[in-house]
Amino acid sequence: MNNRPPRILLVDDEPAVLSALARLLHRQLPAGPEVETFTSPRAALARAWEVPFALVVSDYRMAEMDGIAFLKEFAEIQPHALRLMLSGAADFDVLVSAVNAVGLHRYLIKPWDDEEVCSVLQGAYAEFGRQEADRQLALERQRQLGQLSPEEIERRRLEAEEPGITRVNWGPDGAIHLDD
Amino acid sequence: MHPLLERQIRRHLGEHPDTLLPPPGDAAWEHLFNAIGESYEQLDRDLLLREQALNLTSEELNRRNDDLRRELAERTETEEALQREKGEQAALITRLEDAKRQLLYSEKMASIGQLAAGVAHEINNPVGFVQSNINTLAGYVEDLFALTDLLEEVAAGLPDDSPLGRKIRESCERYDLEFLREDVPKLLSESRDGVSRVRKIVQDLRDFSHPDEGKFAWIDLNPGIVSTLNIVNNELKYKAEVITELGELPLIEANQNQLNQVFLNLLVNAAHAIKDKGVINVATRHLPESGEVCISIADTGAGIPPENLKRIFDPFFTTKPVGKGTGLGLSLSYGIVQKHHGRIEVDSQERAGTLFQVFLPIHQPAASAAGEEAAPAAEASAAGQQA
Repeated sequence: MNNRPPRILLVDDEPAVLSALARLLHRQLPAGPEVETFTSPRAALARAWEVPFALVVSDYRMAEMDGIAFLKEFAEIQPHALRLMLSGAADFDVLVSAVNAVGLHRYLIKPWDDEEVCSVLQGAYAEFGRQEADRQLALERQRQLGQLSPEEIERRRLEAEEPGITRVNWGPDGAIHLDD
Repeated sequence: MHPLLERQIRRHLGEHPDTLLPPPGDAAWEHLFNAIGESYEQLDRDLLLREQALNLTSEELNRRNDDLRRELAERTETEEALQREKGEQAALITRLEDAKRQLLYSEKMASIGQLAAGVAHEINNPVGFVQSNINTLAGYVEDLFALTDLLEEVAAGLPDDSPLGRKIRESCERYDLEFLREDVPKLLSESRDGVSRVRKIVQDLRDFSHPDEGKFAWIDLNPGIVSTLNIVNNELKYKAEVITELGELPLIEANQNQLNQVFLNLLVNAAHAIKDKGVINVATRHLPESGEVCISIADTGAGIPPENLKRIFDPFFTTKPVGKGTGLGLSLSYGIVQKHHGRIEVDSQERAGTLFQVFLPIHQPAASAAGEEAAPAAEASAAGQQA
């Protein structure tokens, strides 16, 4: 298991939104998890290969890629992280595709209510903790029953520490693609 | 003497008239009389023939006359039919024009809606972080004031001649700490209020022009009226005191956005009717006996002259200066209310004010509740003239 608790990832192409949210979380949840912020969804995806996140909160309308595409790709890397959206585009179609395509955990509306954001993030973080504990329990049980090989256990440990490390990207020509 | 008679006499009584006449009883007389009688008979026959011929001609003429009259009637009829057709075509053209106008207008409203949604997103970002930052700042400031409280407490505990104590007291005075403590919360609350107003305007703009045309739902009219009042508040607040008496309403089957547009038009008109300063009274009430709700908007403005009252629902009828009004507001409103199977009533007195009342049924007739096309404005204006 990781020795550091998983973090919260905030993605919005408006830097002032990120700093306002980071400020809010820092002040309201001083003992809470570490928060990382990215104005670029691509950079956030790159970071997702490096450290595990409990929650990912994304804007919808961003220049580089929209929030749904971002969360979809993020879910490929870290499927267990809970996905949230914080957006001013309270468009019904966006909402439907967000829920259906990326299995959204919560949708928050801009301009947000500070207390609501804090309590939703707290709740989601606790939910992630519960799910994580369940997964550990299941893993332990499988190990006890001898259903998992030592290699598989090691693979999962590595995966938890370095997300995506155990997956190999095969190119169509048989080449192995390395992410930087 | 008739030459024919002279010839008869000559033939029957002798070649020379100066010769002696035959004695009475002579056969010559008898011949003569017979010949004369025959002539008369011939004359009678001729007359009869002529008379018959005349009759025939007259009959023929009568017939021709009748034909001509019929033909004339037919022509008149055709012409009337043509005129009628022409009238119908003119009406159709007007209706088409109105439909086109309405289409353009709703297209315009839809693009305003899209624009509003886009703008709302752009505005919600800064509003989001400014609002959040103000809250955080309020917390920071509170902490800082706790610190200055402590500082003052420390200063108070120091001996009077302590240089540090004096320095602290001087600084507190220089920075007018007392005033800051009083003013900062005010500043923050005013800023919060400002941001929440921006937030509300964006929300209203979006609610108002959300492009879900034609959908009927069960709605409470009062919140729509309140949000419309918020939108036009800028236009109203310098002109009029707005008094609202919103009664308890049942849910009605209606299209919220379209009705908001009606209220908006009526409110803006009310404000425009007021020259300097007046009162606009907005009231809603439930009419259980007729199964309707009534929304009334009354102003203390200039009123509508009787000659204009008949035309106010006509498309493009406006008394506002060029560029100030399109003359579509009321006709569109009438179209919308018609579509809801409701009616608009107007009561106006010059120099005293105008009262608009919108009556809307709670239930829409089953068949037309959803997806019915908008009543053409031409019908709306025609019906409007009775109002």
